[in-house]
Amino acid sequence: MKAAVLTIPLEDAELVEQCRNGNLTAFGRLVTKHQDCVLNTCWRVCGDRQEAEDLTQEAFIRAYESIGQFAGRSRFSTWVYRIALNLAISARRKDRHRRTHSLDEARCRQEDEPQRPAAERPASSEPAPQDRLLSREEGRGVLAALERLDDESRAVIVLRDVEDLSYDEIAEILDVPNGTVKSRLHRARLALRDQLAKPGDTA
Amino acid sequence: MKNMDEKAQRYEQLTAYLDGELPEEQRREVERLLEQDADAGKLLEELRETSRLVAAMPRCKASPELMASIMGRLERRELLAELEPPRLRGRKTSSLQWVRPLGVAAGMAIICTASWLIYTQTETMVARKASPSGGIAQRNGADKIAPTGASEREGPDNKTVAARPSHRTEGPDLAFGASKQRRSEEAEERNTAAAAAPTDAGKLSRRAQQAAPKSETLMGESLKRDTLATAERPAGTLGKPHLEAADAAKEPPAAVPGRRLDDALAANKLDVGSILEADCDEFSNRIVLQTDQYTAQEITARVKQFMSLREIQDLRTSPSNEPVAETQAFYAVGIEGDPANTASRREEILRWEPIRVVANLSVGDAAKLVESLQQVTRRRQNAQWMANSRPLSGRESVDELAGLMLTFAMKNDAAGGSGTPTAAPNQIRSAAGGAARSGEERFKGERQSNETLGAGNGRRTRPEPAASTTPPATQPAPGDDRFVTLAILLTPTPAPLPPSARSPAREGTPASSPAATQHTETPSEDEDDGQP
Repeated sequence: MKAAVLTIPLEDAELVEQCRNGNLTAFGRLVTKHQDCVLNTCWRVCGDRQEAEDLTQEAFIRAYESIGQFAGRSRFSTWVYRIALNLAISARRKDRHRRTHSLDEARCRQEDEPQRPAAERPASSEPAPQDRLLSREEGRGVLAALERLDDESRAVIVLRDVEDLSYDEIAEILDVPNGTVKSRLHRARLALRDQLAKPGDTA
Repeated sequence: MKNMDEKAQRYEQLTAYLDGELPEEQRREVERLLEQDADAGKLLEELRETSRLVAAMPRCKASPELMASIMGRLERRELLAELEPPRLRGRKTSSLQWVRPLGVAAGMAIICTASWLIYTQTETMVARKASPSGGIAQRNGADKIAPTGASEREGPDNKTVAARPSHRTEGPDLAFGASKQRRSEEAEERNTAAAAAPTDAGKLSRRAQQAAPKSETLMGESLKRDTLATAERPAGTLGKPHLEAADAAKEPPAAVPGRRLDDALAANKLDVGSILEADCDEFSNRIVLQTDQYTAQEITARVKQFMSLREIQDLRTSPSNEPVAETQAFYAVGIEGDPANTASRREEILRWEPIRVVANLSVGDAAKLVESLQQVTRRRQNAQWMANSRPLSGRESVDELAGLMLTFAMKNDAAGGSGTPTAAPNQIRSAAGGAARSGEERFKGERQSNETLGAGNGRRTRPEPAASTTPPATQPAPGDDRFVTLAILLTPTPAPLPPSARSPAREGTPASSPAATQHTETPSEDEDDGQP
């Protein structure tokens, strides 16, 4: 008999099932598994780290509250992304007038970074100091440019380029067809390119 | 302008090309474009650089406080009972999900009926105006029965039918009268056919068919189907809401009417209400489910979905909508690296005739399955059983019950005793996850006080398998590569079903099935009081 390849770490579906039975520990495991991704998405969409933490918290609380309604047709991560993204976008809309995103935030967060897999990092993992400085400058410029994009464009760029999700996953999260993701992402990148090209914006 | 649009569309492919999201053919097209068009190449580089810049932005890691904060909030809410358990909420939601479509259906039915009545009245009035004699006759017919087209029902003896010639000669009402005549003729034919079936169902069917011509013109084909389906349903199901009638019309006739598995399992798990017993020992584990309302196909699909099985084979293909009265799942633990044991175990399983599904799943998954079934057993049956010892409070959790059960199982282990309906083996117990273990720990203190649980519970005692004293060394640890073969045995329902729902080819009855053989090999409580 072909032996099944067994991996004891529980899959999301199983953890969700346990959550439905009121198992809070299982939900804790789900939170541990997905909190970084959700936090980064919220951070890049709303632009404020502290607010992103609050939104992440709220997203997981809402997910737990409505886990009975989670049909399991999509992945749990996709579902939480959607909740978080909706929260982040509506929070941003509410606070648009008062939010003044600190461009220095990127510098403050450099200590936490970078969590991307090694394979996705540049070949030289230890950049020279001047390169690092340049990278920071770039980071500020990108943040500022992202800030100026509309919510839809920012969301699609964050999901694709920050979270590295596939078009299908993005389509599911944003609840739009795959083709819409494609065109929206193209427009968003063009807009971002134009924003980045504007002189003096990176300062 | 058109050229610009085409160019923009082609350029739009560049993003997908960059992300590797294009199918092969379109990818080649983009590569051709890049060779021919320098602007496209430049744009691609710009897009790549933009994407790289975004991807290079620093990422942050969630602080431990975030997790603590989330869990703290949830725990507080649970403790303060501000939050219902999600399982219950899910069920509430699932039951409420039916309310809206039901309301819509009821509304539609009212509208259809009202418009039908209005149409009928108008038609009658027009007929009266057109032919005074026919109008009187028709009025008589309408008074006798219902305003649903008396002429169709009354047959050739009715005066309305006799008044047909006047319609034919009436000029403006000619088309109207002709269609009415056609409907009357159709009704006569149907009356003749339906008269051959003198049963209640036949009468209902006939009535529905009589109403059908108007349904076709007024309410559409779907309502006609619904009406017919309602008439053909078993007597006990008549009078159910409109939606159920629609469902019955759409589904194959073999489907069991009533609650559907998917509807019942909105919480995405096995129907907790239908489990009779979860029983296990070290090498042979049995789970008995009462599943008289579901089909083999539904159960198989649900087990697959629930357990995320790694491998599953349908060994016997039976009529897919065959209803089963009982599902018995046996599974045997095989140990990788001991192929002889595994092979013999599998062969043994395959010898059981009515087996439909054999699947491999991890020890963890199997433990979870058993655990979930045991939780239900504890909740539904053992709650009653435990009530002999002390009353259960409304807030008693599954974990608490599990803890009590395990305490009792341990007591039995120590005494070589009996009486527990779900004495989980150490092996399963250890793999069953934190819930049961935490319950065990929580109720360690109660162990002594529960020493008398077994006495006087009214259940028949049975010999405890030697496996229940399995030493902890054999317990599977996380990452254990052992697997479990799950064989689900389906026995056909003995309950009488509507003729349309019956399948001619069935396996043996439960009494003659290998399940019965296994039953005697591993005696358990379901022989006496396992049935609800």
